[in-house]
Amino acid sequence: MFSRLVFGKKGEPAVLEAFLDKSTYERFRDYVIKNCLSESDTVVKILEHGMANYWLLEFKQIKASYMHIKNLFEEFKKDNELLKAIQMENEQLKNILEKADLKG
Amino acid sequence: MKIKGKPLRDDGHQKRRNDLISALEAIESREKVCIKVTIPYETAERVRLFLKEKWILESQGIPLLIQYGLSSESEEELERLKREMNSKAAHNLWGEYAVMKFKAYEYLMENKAMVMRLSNMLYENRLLKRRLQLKGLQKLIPKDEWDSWDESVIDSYYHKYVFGKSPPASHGKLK
Repeated sequence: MFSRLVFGKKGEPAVLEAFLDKSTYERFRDYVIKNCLSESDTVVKILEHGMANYWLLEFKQIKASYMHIKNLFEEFKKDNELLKAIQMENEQLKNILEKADLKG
Repeated sequence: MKIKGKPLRDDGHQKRRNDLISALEAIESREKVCIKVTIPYETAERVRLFLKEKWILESQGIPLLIQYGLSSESEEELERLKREMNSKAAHNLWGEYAVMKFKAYEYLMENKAMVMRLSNMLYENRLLKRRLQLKGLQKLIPKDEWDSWDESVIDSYYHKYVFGKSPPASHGKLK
């Protein structure tokens, strides 16, 4: 179940298979209806638009998820410090007990 | 030893965390609709080269290009994005984003390994404190926030890092 391009002979039309999530598919279907185009022409138009604005839209996407990733990073970091603190404390307590055993 | 802050967050944080942990799973498992169309050789070849140049697999790149191609940004909006993208701040953003994503993933994997040993770590911690108490070394016993953790807290960590999903509603929240 992978999206792919299937080429035939050089110069002949290729087959594009795409697996889209439901919301993207619905937008695609609306686009076809709204613009009175065939599915094939619509795909070509959409792909051209996607390639032409790829970096801009990638940038927009990254901007949107930056804060989300930042918050997750901070949350994971805090948990990491806490979990490591338990480990470190166990080592410290073991050392104290070893010293106490040696003295006692 | 005292670490400030709550070990786990509220539902909002839980949701955002899930977004990252199970992003791939969610994408894979979401209901998909297949479209199969014939397109001109030239377009197909351009798409193939475009994705190859960017080291993007067709399986990921084709749906992405369709998603981006369906975006409805106006010309003004695209121009504004272009100006913003060429700014120095934007250049830093690309780098920071990549680094932060990588580090978040590293913490995620490290935390997962530690959480799988959490029950043992806490058991050992309590045992060591008990031994100090028996030896009359109460003064050396630290007061920690994990002293009061019960099974529900450990379960919450498990759900967060090992199972990668929200704990059941019946699970108590951490303080």
